Order: sequence, then C-alpha cells, then structure tokens
Amino acid sequence: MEDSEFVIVGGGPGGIAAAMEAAKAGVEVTLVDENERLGGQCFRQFEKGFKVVDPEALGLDYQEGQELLHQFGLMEDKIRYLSKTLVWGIFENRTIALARDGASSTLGFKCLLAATGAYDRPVPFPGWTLPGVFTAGGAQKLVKSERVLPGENILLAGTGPLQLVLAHQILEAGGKIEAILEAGNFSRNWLRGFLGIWGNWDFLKEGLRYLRSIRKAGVPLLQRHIICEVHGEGRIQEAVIAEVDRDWRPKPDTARAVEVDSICLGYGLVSSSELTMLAGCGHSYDLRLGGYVPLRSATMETTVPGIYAVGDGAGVAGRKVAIEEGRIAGISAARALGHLSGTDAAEQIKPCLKRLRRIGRFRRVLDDISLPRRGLYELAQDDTIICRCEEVTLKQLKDALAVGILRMKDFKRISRMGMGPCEGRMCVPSVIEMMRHRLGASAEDVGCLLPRPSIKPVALGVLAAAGTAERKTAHGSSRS
Amino acid sequence: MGSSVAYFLAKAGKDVVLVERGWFAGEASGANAAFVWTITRKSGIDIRLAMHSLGIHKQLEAELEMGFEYVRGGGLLIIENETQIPLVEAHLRKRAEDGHPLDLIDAEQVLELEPHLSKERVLGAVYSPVDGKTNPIFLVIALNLQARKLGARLLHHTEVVGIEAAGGAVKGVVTDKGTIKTNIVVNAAGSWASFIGEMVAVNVPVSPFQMAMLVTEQLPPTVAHAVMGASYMVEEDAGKKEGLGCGLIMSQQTAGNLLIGASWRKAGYDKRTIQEEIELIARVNVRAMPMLKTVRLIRSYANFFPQTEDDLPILGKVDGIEGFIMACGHGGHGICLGPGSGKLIQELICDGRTSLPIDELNLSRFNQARHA
Amino acid sequence: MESGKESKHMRTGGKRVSKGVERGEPFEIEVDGEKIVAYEGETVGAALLAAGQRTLRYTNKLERPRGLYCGIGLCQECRITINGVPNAQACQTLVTPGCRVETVKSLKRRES
Repeated sequence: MEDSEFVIVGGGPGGIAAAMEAAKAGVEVTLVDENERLGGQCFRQFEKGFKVVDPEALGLDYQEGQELLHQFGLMEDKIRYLSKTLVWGIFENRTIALARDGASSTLGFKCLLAATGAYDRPVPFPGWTLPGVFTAGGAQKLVKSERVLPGENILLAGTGPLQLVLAHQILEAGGKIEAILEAGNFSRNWLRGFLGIWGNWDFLKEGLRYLRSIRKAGVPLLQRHIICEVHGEGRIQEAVIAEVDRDWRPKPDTARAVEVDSICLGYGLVSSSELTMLAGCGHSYDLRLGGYVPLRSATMETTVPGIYAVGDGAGVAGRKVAIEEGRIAGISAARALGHLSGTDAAEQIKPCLKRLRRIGRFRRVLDDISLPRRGLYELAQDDTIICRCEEVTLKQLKDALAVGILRMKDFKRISRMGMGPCEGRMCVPSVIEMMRHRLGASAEDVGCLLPRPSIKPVALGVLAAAGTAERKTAHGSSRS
Repeated sequence: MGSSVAYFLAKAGKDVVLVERGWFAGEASGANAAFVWTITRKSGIDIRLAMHSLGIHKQLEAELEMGFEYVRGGGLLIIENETQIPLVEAHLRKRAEDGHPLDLIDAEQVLELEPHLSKERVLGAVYSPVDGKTNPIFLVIALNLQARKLGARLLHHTEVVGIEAAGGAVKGVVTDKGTIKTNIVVNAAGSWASFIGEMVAVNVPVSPFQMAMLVTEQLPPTVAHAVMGASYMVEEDAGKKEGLGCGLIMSQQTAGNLLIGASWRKAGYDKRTIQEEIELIARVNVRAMPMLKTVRLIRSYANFFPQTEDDLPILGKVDGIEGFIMACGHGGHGICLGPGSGKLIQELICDGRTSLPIDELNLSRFNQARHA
Repeated sequence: MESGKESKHMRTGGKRVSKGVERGEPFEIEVDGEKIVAYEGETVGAALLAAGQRTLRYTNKLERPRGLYCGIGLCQECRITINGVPNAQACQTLVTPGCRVETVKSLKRRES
C-alpha cells in the first residue's frame, strides 16, 4: 500500500475532525477504521438494511453525528478512507500493519494520529460473566443501532449521567427498566455534568428531558446504590443490590434481591491506548481519565515525535472534546508536515482551544462524580472471575500476592491472566486497582501488560496472505 | 538455568542466593518454543546432555510441588522437501553411530500422527517418542518456589552490578541493593552472561540472537506432538548471518493455545516483534497446516538466545578465577537442557565431579585469554 | 438439546424495536440446526438475542455460559462458528440469508 503523509487510526469524532482539518490544509490523509461505517461508538451508524424514517426519534446525538458525517462526506475526495481495516501493529520504522480484505499489509506514515476511543470499564462482581450482563456501551449499540432490546426487565447499574441516556433510549424503544442504580449521588453538580459531556445547553435540556421521562415511566432512580451480585442458573434470574457509603462499599443490612433478566453496567470508560503503548509513547495512569493514557503536548503530540493522540483513547472526555482535539491534531500535523505556517496553525487552533477550555470546566465536575471509589473493586469474592478469558479468580490473585508477587506482568505469568484473546482489555483495568489497593502501591509500581502485535486477534491466513509475494530468507532461497 | 541450579543446590542443603534482575521466567525462559526435545541434538556431548536432562525433567515432575504441564507426547522432525533429505540422513547416521538412534517414518505414518499437516509438505519425518513439550514459565516458577521452600533466598528485581575478587578467587557479589559475601558465583545470565563475565575480566563468547514466536487462541486438541520442520537444520546458522530466518516449529500447550514459529534474526537486545517476521511465521505454519488459516493470532513474543560458536553450552569452572562457574550459552535449548545442567552444576559444586563428563563444555575451549 | 442450553421458548431475549427505523425484508438464518428470523443490517448477536438465544458458548476451563458483553468486538466473549469458520464474533458479523451459526461447546465437550 502506498505510504501516507498523515495516517489517522479511528473513524470516530476525533479521527473525522482531524481528517477534515488536515485535508483542508492540503495534507494527504488516510483515515483507517475497523467498522463498515464511520462514526466510532458515539456516532454509530445503521448498517445497510435499516432505513431511518424518523431521525428525531433517534436522539440529538444521532443527529449531531449525521451532521459531522455529512461534512466529512463533502471532503470525501480529499481523504483516503479505508473502512473495515484493522490496524494490528505499529512499528519503529514508522509503519502500521493493516488487515483488510483478508490480507495483511503495511502502511508507512510521516505523522500518525491515534483516535482509538474507549470502552466500558470492566467491573468484576459475582455473576458478572452470565449471559445477559451487558456493558452500557454494548446495550446502547443494541438499542440504538440494531433496534433490539437487551432484555425484558432490565437493571441499569453504574455511575454518571450517561446511564440516563441509555435509560431514555430503552424506554423510548418500549423497554422495561426495573431500576437505575447510581453509585454516587445526584448533586447539583451532576446535572452540570451533562454540560461536561455535551458542552451545550441543548443537551442540558435533553438531559432534563431524560430525567422527566424516567420519572414518568415510574422507574426508580436510586442514588448511592450498587449491584453486588447476580444469580442464575445459566442465565440471570435475580440481582442483589445494596446501598453504599461514600467509598461505594455496600452498607450492612441494605442488600435486597430484585428480579431482572438483563443488566447494563455503566461504570465509566477505559481508554484504548494499546496503539500508543506499542508505539513506545509515554503514558501516565489516571483512573479519572480512563487508566493509562498517553502524555500529550498542547498540540496533541505524544512523546514520540509525529505521533498524536486525541479523544477518549487519550483520556476519556466525551465527544465534544474529541472533536476539538481532533481539529487541533489535524492542524498541528498539517503544520508539522509543512502545509501550514506556524502563524496560520496557531490562528486556527485558537478557537478550538477556547472551546476546549469551556468544555473542560464542566468536564472536571463530571469526572469527580464518576471516579470509581474503592468499594467498586471490593465486590469480587474469592471465586469471582477477574480475567474472563482465562477464568482466573480473585483467589488466584490473593494467592499470588501471598507468594510475593508485586507486578502485574508477574501475576500474568503465574496465573495466565491477560493471556486470552481480549489481550488484557477486560482484566487489566480492574486488576491494576485490585493489586494496588491490596499492595498499598501505586499503579506505576504494579505496572500493566505491554501490548504486543497483533493488538487485536488476526487470523493466521490473513497474515499469511500478506502483500509481498516473494520472501527471501537468510539464505536467499525463495519461500513463497 | 539459574532456577535449576538454585533448586538442586538448595535441595543439597547448600546456602543459595538467586539474584534476578526481573522476576521468574522473565527472559528467554518465558518466551521460547517450550520444547523438551532431542531429535536435532547432534551426536556426542550434545545428545548425551539432552538425554540426561530429559531424565531430570521427569525427576522434577515427581519432585516439584507445582505442576508444569510436561507432556512427553513425542517429537516429529518433518522432512518438507527433497533438499532436506541428505541433511537428515547424515544426522541420523551420526546419531546411530553414537548410540542414540532415531526412527524415520514415512509420510503416511506422519499424517496418522498429525492429521492436520498438509500432505504436500510432508515427505516423511524423524520420530522420537521421548520428546515433548512443557510450560516453561510454570517450570521456572515451580523450581523457584520449591528452592525457596528448601531455604534458598530469591532476590528478584535485583541487579548484579559487580563481582568482588581478590587473589584469583571470588569474594562477593555486588548488587544494586547491597553486597553478598560468597566464594562461589554461578553465571547463569543467559544472553547477558558476557556482562557478568566482564565483571571478573572473563570473556564469555555468547551472542544473543532473537527468536520470535506466535501464540494462537485456544483450540481443541489439534497438535499432539512437538513438531519441527527439518528446514531448521538448514537454517540453523541463519541466526549468525544477516537477515531473517524462519523454520517450522509448533506445539500445543495444555491450555489449548498453539505456540507456532519461529523466526530468528540479529536484533541486539530488542524484544519487539516486527511485521515481517510475524507474517513469515504465519505463512510457514499455514503452509504446513492449512487449517490454521482461520485460527487467530492473539500475541507474539520474542526473546534472545545466548548462542555460542559451536552451539554447545558453557558449563564448568573457569581457569584463573576460583569460584566463578559458568552455566550459560544454551542457545535455543535452555528449557530442555536447563534442568540437567542445573543438576550437573550442583554436583560440580558439591562433589567436585559430575555424573556426566562436561570437560569439553568448559569455557577454555574457546581459547580466550584472560585479560589482566 | 444439550443441558443448560436456553430454550427458545423462554423469552429472555430482547425484542425488536421499530421506532424511528424501517427494516428491510426478513430472511432466515440457521442456528444450531434451527431456523430463526433475521433482518439485513443486524449482527448475528442481535438476531440471536431477538430470538431469545443469549448463551453463545461455554468456557474451556470451567464450562460456564457466556454471551454478548461489550458489544463492540473487544471482549471476545461472543465467539461462535459462522458458516464453518470458528471464533467469529457474533457482535461484529452481520447476518446474511441462510448463514449457519453454531454456538460453541467447551473444548472438553468438543470433538477434536
């Protein structure tokens, strides 16, 4: 594949915004995305087969997404867009490895932007692996983009106003919600938090509308409540919920059972930082922002020159932030590649920075509310699975610590935690917290698992079908 | 290597301290093909060492409290094309002459043993029923934990920065956390053995070559044997030359993952895998076993193997410096030979002699003059 | 019918929602030998969910049931065999008319 000046990995709001700014400046841009259609998670589009007949019924964010995608569409001929393309590695020689159309290939870049987004924070508690326990993101995709309800009597548990969005969508779709559990409490700040995500008074009104519809449907909105356990033989039959204290620890004698068949867990997001980690960028751990996030300059550049990172994948901050950061990265890359003068770049970045600052004020409030408290990572019991792929239990972690293990990569070796196909995504974020609480250590002491290619599973046949037809070995004999 | 020495010495009642810069199985021990294998061992000391070590693996299976998934399922060296035949036949001849014969089986028999192999890429194979695979990470952890139970002190995340010597004898080991007074130091530092050697002005000619492998997701029982392609015999020297070499190596772990490989190249001390080698390994393995086309890679790993010029380890005392003992240079065979070498080093230290003569493995064979 | 498998008569799945969208023509897909309805644009996971099938596989070690969790292709829990190709992710694969889906038994139960 022909090399590109500026490669953008991730077709969500951050990547799209960056692509447009860079292309506007004349940069040769390649936008790479895994899905069939652009939009990432927040602006997920319908697949072919669905016809949208009433966009308003689909919510403000759907419409906002359509607007952004429309603008991108106007620049289509200036941007090389590779859909259904997985980036499975990044290498020192400034290339990335792609899997596309059943074959692996290489793409060289001068500058690269990681706009890889985030995913739901995994929280181990007894029964969380039962079919019918969904993440809020997974449930949202089902309801919004596939128009299927996750179940018949649904319990929402988590923290933060995003849960209300999901609740509203479920109710609008005719679903039944047993209760919505908020681990923290709703202060005045909580509503201001809406602004933090959407940065816009329209969305605050929208948020109030969600609250009204939830109240109207008679759905209990229980603050300072958490889900402790889920029981069932092969499927969910009941959930145990309890009131919690300030540290999110269940208060004694408040546990009660509720009969539900589906659970949606929304405890915030974790940044997908595998690509920047593999690229050797410096990272810092910030639970508030979603775990290990890349260190960045004001122009969105990481510690590796020419590699940028924006959006939730670089620190969970919502789509408005992703868009502004994306714009800044696009402009900065254009400057770095010589398409814009320093003055012009600074001029163009100014309004983005201004908008970012305005959103940031509200973001911090939101983050404070939704920061996981210690009790969340104490819900697991000895036989609770903490690594889903390899079925590693909390007891195994306790035993490993008893034997003197201090670092996550050593726990991995003794227990196989993190060695499954999810490549640590569903276990590392919680095991970091569990280990550091039990050890009284910092997250940096505990460390994490270093991503290795391929950063998502790739079929061997795809790798074997790699572009280069003839390969030479050390002996020069052909090995095709 | 070091874990084995520590275990056997602790078992023999010696006061042992194991100093490790990382933790258990952090380097080559945790990133290899997991073979316990004798087929490609050359006649002479090479095969004698391997057979001895196989016996030690069995012994450890019974002795160590923690299991390490050692499976003696048999080994197959697949003859993939005509050019490999003369090399294999020559090898078999020498081995037979040496009293360690191997069986040659035909393609039909091979496919009975490993039905997923591609007919087109199998002309026959060398079969060894005593070969097999293990979980090297568990093996090292098992050795360490037992050694500790027997009184050994394990100093992890501790780096050796110097060795004190006076009057031609070792007096102590300096680490970044303090000095340990001792008269005996075993250099089991693998690809870093030359750095340890420098601390006593001893030249240890091991050079690292990087080997990469791939890990697939878990499958139902698919590959029963330790399988290697005979191109390994042709490519064996590739690690010493420039460029990327690759040969077929595959086995299935107890958990169900396939470890497939392998590529090798000179890469200094860079553990990162590169796209070219990952794709090459995939191509070689899919060609050998077509059903792998839909099997997914979930990670790759690479580490360095301490290669010596003659592909034999360096075991034994060192002339000119008393108490400095070599136990390194095992190349790509550390997992197979480690346990046995550990036992031999323990014998050397405790009794002054070894049950298997290892004089020809002494450092002195490289005729390296000790610098002042 | 193996033990532990959800009966499709137990409506613990989801249901399809029509508000705001129109679906294309329905077609049939095959799941573990039985036919269910699916619509173009759905993932296999959504179609199974709508039909009441939430257990997609059993784990290798402890043989516990698993199904959709993250929904966006990261957790690898929704692995099933689609048209003979194993380890396909139900949440990432769109339905096609007549596609054959097999939910997966654990390694212990599977024949090699």
